[in-house]
Amino acid sequence: MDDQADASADIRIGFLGFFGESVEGEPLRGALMVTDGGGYPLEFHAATPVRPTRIQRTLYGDSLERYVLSELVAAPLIESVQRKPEAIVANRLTVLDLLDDASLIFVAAADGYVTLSHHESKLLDPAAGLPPAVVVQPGSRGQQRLDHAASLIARARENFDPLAVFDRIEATLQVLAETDDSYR
Amino acid sequence: MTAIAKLGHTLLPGNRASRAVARLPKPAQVGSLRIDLDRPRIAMIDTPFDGGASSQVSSIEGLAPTSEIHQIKIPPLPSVNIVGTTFEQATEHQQRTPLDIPHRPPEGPRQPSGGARRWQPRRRSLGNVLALLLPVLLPPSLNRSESVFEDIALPHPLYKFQQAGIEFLRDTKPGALLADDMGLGKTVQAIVALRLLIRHSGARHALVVAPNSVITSWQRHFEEWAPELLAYRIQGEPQVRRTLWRAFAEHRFHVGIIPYDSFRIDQEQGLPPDIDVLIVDEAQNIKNPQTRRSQALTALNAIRRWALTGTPLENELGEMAAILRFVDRKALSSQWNERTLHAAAQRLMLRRRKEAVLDDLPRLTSNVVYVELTQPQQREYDRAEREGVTELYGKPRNIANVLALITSLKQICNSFNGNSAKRDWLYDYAREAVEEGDKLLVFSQYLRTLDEIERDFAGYRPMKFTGALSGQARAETIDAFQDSNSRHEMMLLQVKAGGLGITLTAANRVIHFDSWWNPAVQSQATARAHRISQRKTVFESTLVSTGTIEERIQDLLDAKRELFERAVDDLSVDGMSRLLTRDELYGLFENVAGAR
Repeated sequence: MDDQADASADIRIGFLGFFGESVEGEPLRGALMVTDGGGYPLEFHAATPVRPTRIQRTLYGDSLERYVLSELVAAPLIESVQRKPEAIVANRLTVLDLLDDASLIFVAAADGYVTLSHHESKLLDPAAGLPPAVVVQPGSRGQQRLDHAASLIARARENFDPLAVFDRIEATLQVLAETDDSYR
Repeated sequence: MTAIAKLGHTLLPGNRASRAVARLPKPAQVGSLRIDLDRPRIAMIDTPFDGGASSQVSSIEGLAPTSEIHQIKIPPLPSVNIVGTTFEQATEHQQRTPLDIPHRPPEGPRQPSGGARRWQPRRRSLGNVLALLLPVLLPPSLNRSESVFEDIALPHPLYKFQQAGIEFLRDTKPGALLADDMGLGKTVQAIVALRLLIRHSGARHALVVAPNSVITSWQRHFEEWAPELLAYRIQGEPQVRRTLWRAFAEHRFHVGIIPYDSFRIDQEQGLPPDIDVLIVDEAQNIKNPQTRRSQALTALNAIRRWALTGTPLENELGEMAAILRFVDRKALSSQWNERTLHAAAQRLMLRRRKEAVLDDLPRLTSNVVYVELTQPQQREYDRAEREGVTELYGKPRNIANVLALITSLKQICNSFNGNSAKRDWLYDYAREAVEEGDKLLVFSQYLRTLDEIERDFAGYRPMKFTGALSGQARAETIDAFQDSNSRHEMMLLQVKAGGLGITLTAANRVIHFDSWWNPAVQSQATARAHRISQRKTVFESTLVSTGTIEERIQDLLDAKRELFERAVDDLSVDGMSRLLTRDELYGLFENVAGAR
């Protein structure tokens, strides 16, 4: 039991959460939390919300969200982390396209399955009553890295629900917004 | 020359164009999660971006040359600020400079002269905020049971009735009155309910208003039952309190804990801001709606309002009405009656009795011990009563004179010139109790009595718990007495100082050396020992001097206790009336020689 706990403590997983839609008036928010294998927070970094103007939204169009999330928010968030995680789990698939990070993966609940022609993907077995999840990684990194990332997530799922972490991050950003004007 | 790429209906400037082209995804789909990355058509345009000249346009895919480009300026998106830190750093920061608030004046040579250092507002950093966010960020349990209590780590298992109480507090809006018997863990229930609320973003902070004697107890309970919540006492000099209020308003800690008196003073200066959860402990303190304290707390804006008391009703129904009005200002109109009070209580109040919910709580054996005054005591008592009554009835009726006479007679019953029948009884009782490995709590109203017992029972190394102790000294006294290795076998307590909110389960012998007016107060005192974590049968002994004012008061108290239990438990109001009325007080001396 202690060995298991120690092993969980050694794991570091980043959770890169994005919230908000690229529509008029809606801020785009992002935060990164690093946890151990038990889900306990080790670091938390938040970005101030991005509020593109109308003209920016018009000009950037469909690419706005990808640009904001990956380059404006995700990159500096990952850069700011002091203890680099072994894998970073994102809740938006779009960041996989533009962010060239070896360990970045996308995890989503899935009730059907799954082919991404340009991504490696892996289905995690349902465990502990959680819905099945799919882990996706940029294809250039290969199956080996995906297997490693998937095994980390699978181990984490023994202790907590990785998908629920994004709910926690969103709730935290909400509290932060109520607490601090610059995050509103 | 600057490249501009057209993706769908939009343009991308500069080097972003080439990167976008290189990274364009293919259509993708993840099972039921449709990943719709529409593959845009692209036009690559070469143009001096700010040059204003038209440019050559070449089609890359799907688009015919379209237009000339004139001075298109794309406003850059501002970069974001990233702030954050590790939780260790946040914790260290908090420990090193806890709010930068001087809780006590500087001590010793290290401190500069000139009093407490002045607190200056500091630019907020996320390092401070992180500790505030921790309750929300902690992981939920994988156990998807129905119970919300699986969601948080608790130092001890909760009883089922406590879980129900927590859910009642959490779910009853806008507030709730938790009126469990003393000793059932109302403080713990409130703390866990608050913890759940904060965890699920239902609240950001709370203010606990409590008697001074239990402030430390609250803080320790927070440390044990909600270690991730930052709880601070709002105490000290006015300047320090102002600073703490400011920090509270800025959400720099989760819980403020303040004594009633400090709150009233601060509230009159308009300091308390709107708060999320307002918790009033020992809410019988706001039973009188005419007092400033009650009015101030009722008027305070709070989203949730919780009142905690084991005695929601001490004398009359109006007291409970006042507490219910605090809980929900719209619960009762000023024209409330017994029926509407009953309805409001059913909705807003939860009350459980010890015997109903704690199968394994040790028994409480209550006993009234009647003692005969010693001869010198009896002579002095007879003289004092006779003269006092003669004087009393020779003047216009005045309650203060009656109470003064009662006080002087009760003190004679406790001791006179070194003579004390009660002390003599206690000699034998204490020896027997200590031989059996039991510790004693001795309650009295009178400091002089406690001083005499301390002197006469020095061999038992008695500790004294009075209103004169500071908060820190109270905590240390309790700890020392509760320590299983402690050699303090007796604690002497002033009823009003030691009767509320503290746990003294190391003792199981409770002696009321003299009786308080109100049986509820006496019950609260006994509940210091008879509560959760008590392992032994609790023996409560109330000393009454026969043939004296004490015996006559005891008869009245017995009637009052019965009435209290009936009224509070089933809210029936038959026969409910004010107790110890003016006539009853005078009636205490009706049959004494000298009375008219």
